[in-house]
Amino acid sequence: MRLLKTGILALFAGLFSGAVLAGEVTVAVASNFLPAMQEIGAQFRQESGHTLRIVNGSTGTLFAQISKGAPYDVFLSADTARVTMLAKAGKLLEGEGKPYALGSLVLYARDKGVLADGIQASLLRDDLRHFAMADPETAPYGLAASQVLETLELDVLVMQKAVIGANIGQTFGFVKTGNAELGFVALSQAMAVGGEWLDIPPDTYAPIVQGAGLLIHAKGNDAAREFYDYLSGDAARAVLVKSGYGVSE
Amino acid sequence: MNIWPAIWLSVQLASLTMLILLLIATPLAWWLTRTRNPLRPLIEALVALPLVLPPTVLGFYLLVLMSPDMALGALWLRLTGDTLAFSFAGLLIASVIYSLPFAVQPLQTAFQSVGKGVLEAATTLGAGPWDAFRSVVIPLSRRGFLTAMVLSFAHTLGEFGVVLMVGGNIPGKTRVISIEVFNAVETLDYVTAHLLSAGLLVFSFLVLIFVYLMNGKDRSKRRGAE
Repeated sequence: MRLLKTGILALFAGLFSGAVLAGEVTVAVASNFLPAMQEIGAQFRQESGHTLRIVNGSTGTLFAQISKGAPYDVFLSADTARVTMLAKAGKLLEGEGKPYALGSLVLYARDKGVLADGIQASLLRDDLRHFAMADPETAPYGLAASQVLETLELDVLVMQKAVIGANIGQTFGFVKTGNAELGFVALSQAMAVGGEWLDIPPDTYAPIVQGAGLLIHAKGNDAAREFYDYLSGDAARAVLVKSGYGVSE
Repeated sequence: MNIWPAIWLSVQLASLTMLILLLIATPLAWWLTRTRNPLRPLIEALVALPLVLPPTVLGFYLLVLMSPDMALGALWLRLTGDTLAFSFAGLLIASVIYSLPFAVQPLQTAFQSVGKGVLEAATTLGAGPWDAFRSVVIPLSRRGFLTAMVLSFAHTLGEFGVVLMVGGNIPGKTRVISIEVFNAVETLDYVTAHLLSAGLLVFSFLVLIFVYLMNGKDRSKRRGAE
């Protein structure tokens, strides 16, 4: 009994001492980056002792929420455009945001042998029923996919076989469930799940730069700034590279 | 931003869903009303599932079922040469399942209120079961049929989660109104989002007023009969 009391006391003491030192950070992250963010977040929690909450959603949805005053401290977008727009709207604490990751596009297939003949041939096969890509208007990886098709002059030939995912996660799901044979997805997804994929030459699409911004909600929140800086540190970069992202210099 | 293709597609989908549901829900609701089968509660629960399941759950299972790896998806592929997911037919199957309770339940209520006495009278006068159903049950359940039609149409018009999961967002084939609203918000096209949203809001409200007016008439008629 006494042991229990001591334990409870110790627990409370621990809680309160922690509460004094530890801050709280809420990070809004584009869904494509969620797995990497969870890993970076776990490391950050361990190293700093801060509480870190992760909110994920599509870049467009998070942008709309932040514009309407959602209580997020840091925004990790899938593009740079939304961060720049937030900066213009006065929603960033300072500056214009910064790039934190570079996405790579791959042509992905679930089954072996589908990609044996290379990118063009795989897409031009007569018996190809569907290939999946994300919406070029809303998803940066979708925009990149449409640029690849244009560069390779395939867009006119194959576009009627495209099925459009609302985001890159859904696009991956179309291929993973076998409903589409091929799909333009993020390298990070292919590496996380496994399967067959072809790297797409980086000169066929504009770089997919993902931007981060420190939001006005983080005003006076040291933990939030600490995390924002942590993103550019070596520990976070190691996770990025391991997860299939490039790091921007 | 041309909003008409999405509206036209939604109206086609909702109308066809309504017609198919009339054909499926009428015998099903009649059976549920008349049967003494111990399995009845089980079937009723199955019919009501789409009321409580998140549309995303339904959509996820449908996406898996429609895959060429599965019997249904493979059969469809053999018959048509195209996948069931990302097709109008796939959306139609999804909508029929998704709106099933909205057709069955009003019909069941209507059939129950017809009562056995009237039917027995018809049988005594020499009417066969089909004749009795056609000339007694259907006219007496007219309001139930109307409610079932209106509700299944409106509910299909409003579906989002299921379509998002199995549609693939193809203009003219699977890009319905709710998806168009979602896209408009995502691309910051708030004018289109407002137009479509306000249109759906007003339409849905009018539909529900119509349904409640019908039900009100029903109740006052019953009170008058007592």
